[in-house]
Amino acid sequence: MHFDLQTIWAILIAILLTGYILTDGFDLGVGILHPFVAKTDIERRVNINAIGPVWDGNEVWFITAGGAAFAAFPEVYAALFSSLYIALFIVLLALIYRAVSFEFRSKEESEGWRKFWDQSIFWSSFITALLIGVALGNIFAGLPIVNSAIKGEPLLGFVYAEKFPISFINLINPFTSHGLFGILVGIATVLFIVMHGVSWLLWKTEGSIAERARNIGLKVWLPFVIMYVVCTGFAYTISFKAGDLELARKYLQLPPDMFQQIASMIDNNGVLHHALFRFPVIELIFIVLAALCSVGWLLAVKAANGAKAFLFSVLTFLFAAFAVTFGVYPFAVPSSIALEHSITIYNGSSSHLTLTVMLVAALIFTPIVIAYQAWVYKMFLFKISPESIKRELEGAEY
Amino acid sequence: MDFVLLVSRLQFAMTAFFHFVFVPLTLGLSTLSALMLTLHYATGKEIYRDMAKFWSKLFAINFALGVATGLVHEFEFGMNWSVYSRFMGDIFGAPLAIEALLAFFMESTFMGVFLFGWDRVPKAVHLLAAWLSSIGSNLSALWILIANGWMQHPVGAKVEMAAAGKRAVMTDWWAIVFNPVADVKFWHTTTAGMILSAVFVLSISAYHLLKKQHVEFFKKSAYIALIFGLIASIGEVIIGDIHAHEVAKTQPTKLAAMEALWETKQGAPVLLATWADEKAQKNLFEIPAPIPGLLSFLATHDFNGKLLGAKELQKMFEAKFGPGNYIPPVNFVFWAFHIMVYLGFFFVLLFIWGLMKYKDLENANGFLKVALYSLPLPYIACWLGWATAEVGRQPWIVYPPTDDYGKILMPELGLKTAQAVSPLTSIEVIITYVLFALTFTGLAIADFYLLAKFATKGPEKEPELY
Repeated sequence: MHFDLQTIWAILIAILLTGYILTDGFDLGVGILHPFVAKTDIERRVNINAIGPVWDGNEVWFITAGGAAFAAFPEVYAALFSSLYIALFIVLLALIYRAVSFEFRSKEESEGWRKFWDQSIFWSSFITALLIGVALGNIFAGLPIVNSAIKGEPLLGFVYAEKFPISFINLINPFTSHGLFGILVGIATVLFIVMHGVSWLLWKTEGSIAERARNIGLKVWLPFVIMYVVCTGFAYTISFKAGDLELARKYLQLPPDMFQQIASMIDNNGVLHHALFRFPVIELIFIVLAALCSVGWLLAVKAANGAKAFLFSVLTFLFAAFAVTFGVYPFAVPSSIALEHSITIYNGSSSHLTLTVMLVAALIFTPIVIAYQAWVYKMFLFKISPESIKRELEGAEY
Repeated sequence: MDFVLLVSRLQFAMTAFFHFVFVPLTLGLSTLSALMLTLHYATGKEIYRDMAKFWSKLFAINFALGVATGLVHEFEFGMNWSVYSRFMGDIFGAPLAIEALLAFFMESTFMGVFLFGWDRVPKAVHLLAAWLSSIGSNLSALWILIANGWMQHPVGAKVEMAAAGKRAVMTDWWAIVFNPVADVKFWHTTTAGMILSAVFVLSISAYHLLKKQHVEFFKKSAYIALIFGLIASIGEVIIGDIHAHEVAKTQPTKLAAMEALWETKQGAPVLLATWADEKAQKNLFEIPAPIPGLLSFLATHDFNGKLLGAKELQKMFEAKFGPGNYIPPVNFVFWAFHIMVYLGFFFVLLFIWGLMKYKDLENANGFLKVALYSLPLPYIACWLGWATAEVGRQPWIVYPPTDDYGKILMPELGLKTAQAVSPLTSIEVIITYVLFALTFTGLAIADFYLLAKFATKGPEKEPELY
């Protein structure tokens, strides 16, 4: 690894995305669990109020990750968002419905109105979690992108090459390896998000909801571990066509020693097995640690210890995310067409000045944001239950 | 026009249109609510507490859709305008990222504390949260307008060849932050948000006062709105003048369209009304303002100043950039701009009228009716202002940096809207356009319904719960 500006920014974006999945993750989970843990109207209100003051700030992590990717790696931002056009559109729709569902649901008495928004909370949370997983799986397995500059086109940048009428069908096509991998990662993501939601509900609520969340948690652990093992095994089978090495040397813009190392991994058939092999020992340690933490999570859920469960679901994800980050480095979006068309953190990054300006801003403001968010969390970390919500509602009618 | 380009433009305009329904109110009403909360904690009077609660509840209902449409906006740059994003990302991305880091977190986190913190957090913390949330909202306007200001007048950048093609790179960060066009846009937009919020509060107060209900509550609310609105609307006239001066200097084709100025003129007059034959490049009729040379004075601060007309500008741009139409749609931009200005003056008069009638406001039925039905007007003014800025920029997505009323400084930095669109398929863009349109419309209706429901219900004591 080279500790240059590009690497630092790649780590920062990985942290932002991880921060998003860990913070918004539990409220997505609470959203997916919504119809299963909350049966009465009061229980549903408890469930929503369990994430009431924080979900909004959590979603800002997503916006920040998007903005930071735009600033630090504009080629990645432009290529990914136009390539994943429909998938991203569906995620946006889901996030919009989620935001307004929380806000609108309890502001009208009618049963149909509340039912509609309850449904909307479940579906929007589920689809967001699923598609984020599908997108991450596809990116990891490589998108069919080409670098237009290689063909002498000076303005277009990295372009999605397989022109289906809708590129989205590609992402979920189970007959291609990236599509299948995308689906598998999507399912694993949903299962993890549910686990994380269970942690939060155990921590933040008591009574009927916490009890149901615990039961679901006990059931969801095994499928998660199975999917985790399947996805990890699958990841090791993914490979890329090496293509033209001279073009790759010129257009990937990797530091020479790093390029040499990658080139030496290409086998005689011109195939590059996934970069996961670059740091095999570190990879393996992280993968095992993630699995161990999920066991810790299961024990914490059995003991109905919400805080501990939350800690372990966070650690499970962190270690899995470390493994993936090490695995793809220095690639941002590998090209499934040929190596030289890939986006790396070097040919996809902003200029030195922009990266520096952004780094200074991040170093000053990120600690401040984390500090006040932690403070707000602490302030609102009191338990709620159907009884406490009822008391508040009745107490108000003075 | 290419279909993908056309639909992408329509979709972006639609998103901006809906975003601009919700955002100006967020900007101003957050400040008004914080002001009311300050009055409560300073005087200890219950009425200000109820006021802060009532108006911040409407604020919260409005806020969710502002965030949702803003999220769409941020991602649409990459989704629909990938060529723009990669070409300009080195400069344009930074203010967007800082907006999220510096402003969005502050706004949303402290809004949570403000709305849910009643009687739960110490008074000083609660008040601080209300103000931080308001400052956060307005800071986000600053950073997004620094990004937008750069599209209008790109500074602190140069073009270079990179691994994935030609792109603009940053050369001077502070020049981008202190871009004069961006900074005047910030004041112009946040002040517009204040005027809109003042009219919003005034109009809902007028509804209740006409019904003679909660008279003390809404009379006090209206008073705060009138004072706040008068200061903001007078300020806006001054800021608007500074803004127009900047536009004249840096975007001569936009100014020519805003004023339907076809011929290069010294001592150009302001037109109060006109209709242009855009093909023949002349005005069919003109009603000039009675002060001669007023436009030259406003634009150059000299009654005899020379302004380039659209015809000469077209020739100039053709010589530099090749064949094409370089004049934005004149009638559209002229009327968007002029109606906005007329509305701006109307708001000043409305607030003055209200303050004159204030002593017996609950019986000033004439004023109250006008105030009530004025509710849509500031929204229209905001849309028209935005349309003037963005349609007036065409055919450019990044206007080539220009100074001194028509001196093009770095032609290579200009990027046409038609070059900037993503390589998408027609099916893809039509799916998203139709579904976004349905979603935004449906949610806006639900939102207006709730706003109307809680606005007409009046103040009540309810806990802050989802």
